[in-house]
Amino acid sequence: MIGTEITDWATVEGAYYAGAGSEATWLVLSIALCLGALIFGARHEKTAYRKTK
Amino acid sequence: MEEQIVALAAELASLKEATTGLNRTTAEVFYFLTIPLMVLIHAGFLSYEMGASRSKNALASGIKNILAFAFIIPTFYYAGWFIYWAFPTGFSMSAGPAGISGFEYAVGAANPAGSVMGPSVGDSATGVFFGAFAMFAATTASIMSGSLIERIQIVGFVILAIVLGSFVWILGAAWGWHADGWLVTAFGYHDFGAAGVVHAIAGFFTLGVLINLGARIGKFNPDGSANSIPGHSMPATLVGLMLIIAGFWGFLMACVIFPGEPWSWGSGVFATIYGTPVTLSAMTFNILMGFAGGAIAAWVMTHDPFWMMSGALGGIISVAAGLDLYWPPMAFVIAMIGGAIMPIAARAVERLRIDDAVGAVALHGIVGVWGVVAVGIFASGYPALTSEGAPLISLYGQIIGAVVLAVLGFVSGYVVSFVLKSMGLLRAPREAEIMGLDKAKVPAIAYPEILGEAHGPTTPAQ
Repeated sequence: MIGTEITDWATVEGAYYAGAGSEATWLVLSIALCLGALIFGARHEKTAYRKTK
Repeated sequence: MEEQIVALAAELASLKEATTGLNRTTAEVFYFLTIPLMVLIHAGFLSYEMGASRSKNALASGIKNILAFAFIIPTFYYAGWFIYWAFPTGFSMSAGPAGISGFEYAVGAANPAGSVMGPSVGDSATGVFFGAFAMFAATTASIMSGSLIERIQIVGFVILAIVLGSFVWILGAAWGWHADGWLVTAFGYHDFGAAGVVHAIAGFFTLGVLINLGARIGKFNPDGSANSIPGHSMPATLVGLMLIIAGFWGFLMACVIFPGEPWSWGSGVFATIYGTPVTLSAMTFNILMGFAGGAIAAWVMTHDPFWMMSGALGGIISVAAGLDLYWPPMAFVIAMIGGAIMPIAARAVERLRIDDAVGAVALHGIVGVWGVVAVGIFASGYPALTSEGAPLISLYGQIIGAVVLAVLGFVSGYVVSFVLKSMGLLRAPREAEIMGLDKAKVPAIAYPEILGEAHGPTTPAQ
């Protein structure tokens, strides 16, 4: 499981988010998902337009 | 005695800590509240553009609005916030005189892969600042949206919205809406409420796109004369415009810098983004006068409720750049001029056979430029920054700024839309446009009693 090493809130003084240490991976994944959504959207749109002809 | 002094010092330290905490959380709440207020702008755009579309295209227009908002948020996180801090001095990404810009500063303040862009108990500011700027970005992209209704492809539009909202306008903002921006430090450019960096850029970007997109079928006759293509719900359009205006209070609220924080310009009074003083009272006088002047002028010019509401927004845009400086009756006059210019500019755009479905080029582009130039005419001579030897606000500097921002918007809009057109991603096919974009690609129907049954998977609401 993805989690944290924080076991005591009293020790937290800065960043405390889940995913610390793997930020770039999540960043790249989220960008890829945005691109994927646009590609799927464009395919759906092309198919829809083809049906109107 | 000594014990009492120690106790008093401890109490003072505790009081200081409490005051610091209160100021920090108040500042955080201040910017946080601007965000739902600015979401009203998008509720407004949604209603406005669906109303301005014919019923056969209402939902396709709404989808555009939802997606522009949705895609701007992550893309502004990836790039826009970084661009704002990296590029104020130009493409060299060097640090500016105020020391809050350049590549190294941006890596520390806005790295999308760094801890600064995530939850931290030590940072109550970055998230709400990012959120407010992301709302500015989504607003900028949505300004373009209405002009393109009823014939643009959705994905093509989303790409244009991303380019405008997460790259182009924020580059203009770095140049002219930042204390290290080269337009500010070199020319004394002043644009408190973003008449140029949001409205003019968005309006001229839209013009560039419209040239490549072309007019809706039936808009122009062979002799060049134009036909009116009324939307299916003027009431929805008018309510939408009023919601946009309501949301602009949040937009303008987010244009001030809260006092008393380590990142503030000072304590005791709000400041503009340039560090010069401003109060919410000053803004209030002039926003209201701008609203009134624009609406009244548009009424005199057109007697049309659509243009009256657009005029109200145009009045606010006319005074936006100098909201912090104008004497309120002067703001009223400036807004009336903007409200009068707007319908004339819209007719001029139409005479060029450009089909701007909601008049955004006139309302945001031309009136945005007017708002920038007006500061040079009516409020020149003030120091543009608080630093010693800062350039003064001048008509010359405002004109330079207006030209740079308009060209930045127009060229990028034209080039990107030209590329999309070449790839077949810009315009919907003729058959789909005639049939209606909702029937062609939306699995829901706006008005089943009038337009018939839904033709795909139905939504729970149907």
